[in-house]
Amino acid sequence: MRQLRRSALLLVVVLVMAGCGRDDEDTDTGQTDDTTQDAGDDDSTDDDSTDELGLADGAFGDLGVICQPAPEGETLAAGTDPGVTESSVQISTFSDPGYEGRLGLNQEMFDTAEAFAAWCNDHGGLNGRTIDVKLRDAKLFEFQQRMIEACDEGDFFSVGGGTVFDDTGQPDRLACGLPIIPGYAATAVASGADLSLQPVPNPGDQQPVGALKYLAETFPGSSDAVGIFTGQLETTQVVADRNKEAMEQLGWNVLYEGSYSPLGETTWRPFLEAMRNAGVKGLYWVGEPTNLSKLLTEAESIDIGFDWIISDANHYDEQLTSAGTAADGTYVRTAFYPFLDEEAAQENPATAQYLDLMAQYKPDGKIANLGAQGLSAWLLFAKAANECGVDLTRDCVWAQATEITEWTGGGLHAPQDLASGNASNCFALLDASGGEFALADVGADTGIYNCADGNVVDLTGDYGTGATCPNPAHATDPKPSNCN
Amino acid sequence: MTEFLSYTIAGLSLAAILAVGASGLVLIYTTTGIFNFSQGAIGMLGAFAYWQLRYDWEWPAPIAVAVVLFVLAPLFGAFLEVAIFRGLQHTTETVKLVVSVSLLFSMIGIANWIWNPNVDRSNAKKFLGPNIYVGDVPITRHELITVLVAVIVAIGLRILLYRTRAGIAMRAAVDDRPLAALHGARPDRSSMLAWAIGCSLAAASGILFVGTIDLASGPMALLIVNAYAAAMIGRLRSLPFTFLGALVLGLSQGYLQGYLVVKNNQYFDSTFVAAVPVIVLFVVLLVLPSARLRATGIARTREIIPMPTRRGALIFAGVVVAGAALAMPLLTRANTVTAAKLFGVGIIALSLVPLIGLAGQVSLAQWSLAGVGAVTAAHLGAGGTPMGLVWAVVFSAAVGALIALPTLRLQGIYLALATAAFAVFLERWVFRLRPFDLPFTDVKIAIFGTGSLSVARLNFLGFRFDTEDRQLILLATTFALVSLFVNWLRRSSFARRLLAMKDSPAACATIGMNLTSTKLMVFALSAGIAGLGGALIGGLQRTTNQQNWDFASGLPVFMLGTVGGIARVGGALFAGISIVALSAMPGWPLLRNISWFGNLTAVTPGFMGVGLGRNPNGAVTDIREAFDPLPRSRVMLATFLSILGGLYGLVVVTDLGAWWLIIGGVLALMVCTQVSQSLQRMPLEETIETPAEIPLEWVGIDRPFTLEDLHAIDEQLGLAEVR
Amino acid sequence: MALLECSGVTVRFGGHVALDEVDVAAEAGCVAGLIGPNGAGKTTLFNVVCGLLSPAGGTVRLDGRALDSMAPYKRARLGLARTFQRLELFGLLTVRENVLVAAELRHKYGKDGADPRADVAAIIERVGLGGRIDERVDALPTGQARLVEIARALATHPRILLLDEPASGLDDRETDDLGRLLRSLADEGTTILLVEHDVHLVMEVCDTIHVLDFGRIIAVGDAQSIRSDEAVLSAYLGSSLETK
Repeated sequence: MRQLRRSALLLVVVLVMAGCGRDDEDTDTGQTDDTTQDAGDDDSTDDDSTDELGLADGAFGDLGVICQPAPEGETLAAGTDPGVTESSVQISTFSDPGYEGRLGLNQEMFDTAEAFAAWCNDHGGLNGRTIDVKLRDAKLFEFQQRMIEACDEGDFFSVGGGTVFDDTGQPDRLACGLPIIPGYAATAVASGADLSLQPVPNPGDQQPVGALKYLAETFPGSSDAVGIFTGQLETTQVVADRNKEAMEQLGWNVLYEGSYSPLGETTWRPFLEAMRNAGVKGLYWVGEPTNLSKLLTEAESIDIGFDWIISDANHYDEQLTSAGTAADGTYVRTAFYPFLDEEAAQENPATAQYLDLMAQYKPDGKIANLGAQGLSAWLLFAKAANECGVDLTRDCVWAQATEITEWTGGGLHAPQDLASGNASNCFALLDASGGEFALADVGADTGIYNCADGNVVDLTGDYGTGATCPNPAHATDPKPSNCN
Repeated sequence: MTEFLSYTIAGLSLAAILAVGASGLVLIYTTTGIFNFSQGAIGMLGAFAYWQLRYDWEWPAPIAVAVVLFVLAPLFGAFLEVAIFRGLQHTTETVKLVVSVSLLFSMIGIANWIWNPNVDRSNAKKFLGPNIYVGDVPITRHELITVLVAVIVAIGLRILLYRTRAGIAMRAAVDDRPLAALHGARPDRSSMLAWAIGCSLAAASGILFVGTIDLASGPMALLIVNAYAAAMIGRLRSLPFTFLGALVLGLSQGYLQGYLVVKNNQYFDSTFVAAVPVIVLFVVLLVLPSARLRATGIARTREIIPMPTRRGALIFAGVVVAGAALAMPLLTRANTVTAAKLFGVGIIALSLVPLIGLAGQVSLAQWSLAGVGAVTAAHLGAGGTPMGLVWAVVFSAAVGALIALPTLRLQGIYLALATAAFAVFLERWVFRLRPFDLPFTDVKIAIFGTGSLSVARLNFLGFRFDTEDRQLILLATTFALVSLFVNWLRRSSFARRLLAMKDSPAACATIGMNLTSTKLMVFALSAGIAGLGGALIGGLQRTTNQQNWDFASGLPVFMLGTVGGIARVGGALFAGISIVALSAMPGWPLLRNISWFGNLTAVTPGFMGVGLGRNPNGAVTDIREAFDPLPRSRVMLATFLSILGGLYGLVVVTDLGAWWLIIGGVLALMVCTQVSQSLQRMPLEETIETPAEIPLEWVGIDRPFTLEDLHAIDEQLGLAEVR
Repeated sequence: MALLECSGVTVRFGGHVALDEVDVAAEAGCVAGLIGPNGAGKTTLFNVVCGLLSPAGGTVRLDGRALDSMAPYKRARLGLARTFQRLELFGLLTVRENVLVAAELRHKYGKDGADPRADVAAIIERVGLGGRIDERVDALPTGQARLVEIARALATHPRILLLDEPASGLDDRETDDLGRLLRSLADEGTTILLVEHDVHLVMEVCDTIHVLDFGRIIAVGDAQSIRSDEAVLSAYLGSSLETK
């Protein structure tokens, strides 16, 4: 028995020490399909109108062809930048599905990455180079280590990912000049960092207020009696603060500010009663959909209702609509065309293609908000890389991507100005009333979106600053090669 | 008035849940002497089981509730008593604590394993039905049921304890187990009953949470912390006072959330209200008329506090630094960070050696104190000045002393709870404080800035520890130096004083020892060490944020440090290795494709902790003993070292993976040990272990118990006189 | 004037009066005995004297100085040392270390130049444990463990030594040795207050004897007068004396 215990302990030690050794194989990739790049497979030509091209042509939405074999007569050579070989380009995607506390956390970002890469490679890759995806699992607390691996293993770009504690690896990323097109950025350190390009920009000094203005007009008087309710985490509290400043600029009156424990609250009633007591008519909720759904259910059961409750795009999730009629008057602000309802999604070609892409290339993958955001990042990267032709460099892709002034992810979402990096005026609102998401009539002027001037305000408060490149040259001439 | 009534109703229903949860804690503690940290996790399992029956298998609610409360939970409780807690009666408070904390983690891991956390369980609802109205204030069906459950529990427990034979036996077992046994009671059966009922109560509170909070294993398991204060108001003994405590807590939450939090006050917002239960817990522990210094006689435990030799301490430190230096060229940069973090966690674990290992003062706040160090280093260590580390040590030591001062009187579980309360207080309020103005000054303080702080890496007299390799060497060397310091401390008169204090504070006072200053010193010292570890981890990561230093994140350090052997520096290294490796392991080449491996590593630390009950002196003692024969044979030691050296050379020169070094090294170690053992045995036939020579503490583990053993143990425990 | 003087000490536990206006005095350089049946309040009185228990009333004076609310460790530093009836040894330490803890403390607060280690060896030799000096105390039989307690108390160089049943668990020869030790300590000027059930030992070594019964002093005097005291005989000693 004693011997047995010793052996067991020893086994642990062996495993432990072994794991510290160098991993010579690919540590982190999920196997991507190494498909042959048979040019005959894809007979589309550039003359075709982009509208008629679909997934089968290596095209997406209104972007035209973004994945194709090498142009005829061109030969591929290994690139000067990391990760670019004569046949492939190595891209990493970060997420946290390996976190033991919640295995599978944000798996949708990996699913999307795999689906996109498989599809793109099926159609010839990026001008003939296959995308070699490295899925880097930060497991919540190991973002820094994964980032160092991304640097050391020579990732060309990091695309379509995001991690919860993304502040930790930023200095390491910039130390190796790795550009990132994230699906989402959690902390101010990451979202405002150099060499980070969000397909839906969210600058620290601007706040979209179109949805708020719409609500104030639709529910007269409600802007004089607003409450803000948020989770007790600095990341959500910063978002609440920004909204508060924006509301104050609009001349609104904030009557109640509270926060709930991220562990969940054992009763929501005192919060709700305090809001009612303060006379709150409209509530801005910054948090996650599960707890909002609990709050709504409790509000309904004690006869408390608000004119409106608004929350951000991460609430576009069935957890919220599980509240049923308790979700009446709850709105979700979004820049994306709704995709959860498969039938409605067919009306927007890009959204339909998103669902098709996943169905074909990752049938068990998750369709979710972060997945859609990740896809927009991938499309942006592929579009820019495609423009660069066979000479693939970080500087070129970066320049191509950052000069786009109207980015819609092929039609997945409202137009975004990546060149300026400003927050977009456009928004759509999803009404969760009755337990189903439906587009609210927000006076759309561009597709389903309201893109009126004045839908964004400038903020003056300090909401954190992003990580900066170690090389001062980047400040004057921002491009990847100037970063480190 | 309307809102007052509404807050009251909310407070009452909260109080009811707290009361049910806390009464389970009290029942188990009074009957068995175990403060069950895993009570919340049991409630969580109950809630999940209920979800499974009610919503996945769609059983009718009453049947699902009945099966969970009256079949599954009691069986589970009885199982825990028999399989785990019965064996802990004569172990130290620390061991009892570690086992129940470990159980908490095991259960979270098991729940995640059985019930995939990614499945949407928002279909779980509260008990629905029409409201009843007091005036125009509604009372929901769920609130009504909640309060009713609490009332039924109160009445039921009263009847059980005062009107039934089993209950009276339980109360007798509280006062004096051996005595109760003499009078024909069966304390084991009483314990089993207490666990069964306690688990049922936990499950009841868990089920009442369904629909109000998300069915997520971790958060649900930790919510019980709020009920500790109620149990403590009942002094862990009195159920009526426990219910009263729950009432006070529940109502205070209701009223404070309602009246205090309207416009965010920069100090007292919702985060403060969330911290109120632990503030109450802390205060109650302080004013609790617990025993002053009492002469209690020696509690004989199976503890061994090793005395490291100077040579041994130097060898340990040398091996750590040399190991890190030799491993460096074989490690990828990312793995270098992982390895360096191992030593950072190890330093925090080292802080437990003087505090728990020597002084027997259980602190659950060390991880939070490390957080204080990290924050200090971030704010005061700009540019990597060594003063950042100095301030981190000084400031965390000061905070450590601050905890020690009011808690000087407390011992054992009371001290553990007080330090836990402090840690949760930091987590829920202090670390979550928005940027605020320091009262009476113009100074603005932003403890965690806007969510995370950047921490500069050390720049020592112009030498910058800016690469990962240098960080590894920095952390390994610091770990080695701190381990030398701790080992030096172990040999000092201070350590003798601490060990003396651990055994008999009363006797210490009567030979002129100032217990206050001694305790303050050891708390400050160990807090300083923890702060150093936190600051170094911050520098390694270059950033630090709120979530890094949560109370729950720190429990594994305490748990695995104790598993490794809390009285020796090897135990701290063990903790560092286990924590870092277990979280890294599922990503390793051979293991990556095993889908359940992540789940396995998640439950492993818990099971290791539970196993501690069988070996209170720690795993490191075992490992060391196992390889003891090797250093005694010079030939074999030389053989082993040269094999290791050869392999190392081979790996460095050729393309051979580092894997081979480790596998080969371990094989060589085992073979050489075995050979040297045989060599040493040959001339000394009589040193072979015979069953008769098994030390008492190993009886029952290495061979089955016999009647003689029981007598021998009774003799050792001084129970012979009682019988 | 007596070195240690307890006057009017009263202790209540709930409604139960454990000590009722107890007066006990120990003259410098003498051995004072405190006897009485179980539960008479002897150990309680010790706890009051050394500060582990605050009395409801009364004063304890050491060398004329009122100790009142003084912390136990400060009393110890004034020269008050004790042993415990239910052993309070440092079970994780060896015999030598147990005594060394006290000696080192004494060395620090006493600020005398004596080498604590040499001192410790001498004391352990003196109580007759020289042969077991490096054994862990929780491995010792009860009788010898009591001697460790005495040695530990002696290491503080006490002016007055409070001994709580030091002879229980000792055999006759060891008890005789203990008696001789106590006498020689007293001859060197150490005052001793002795609680003991072994009446022969008490009668043999004590200069004065206090008899405590139900929390009250019922007799004070030398061995001879106690032996013949009616109250003592009826309360306590009768049977005991006859059987011995």
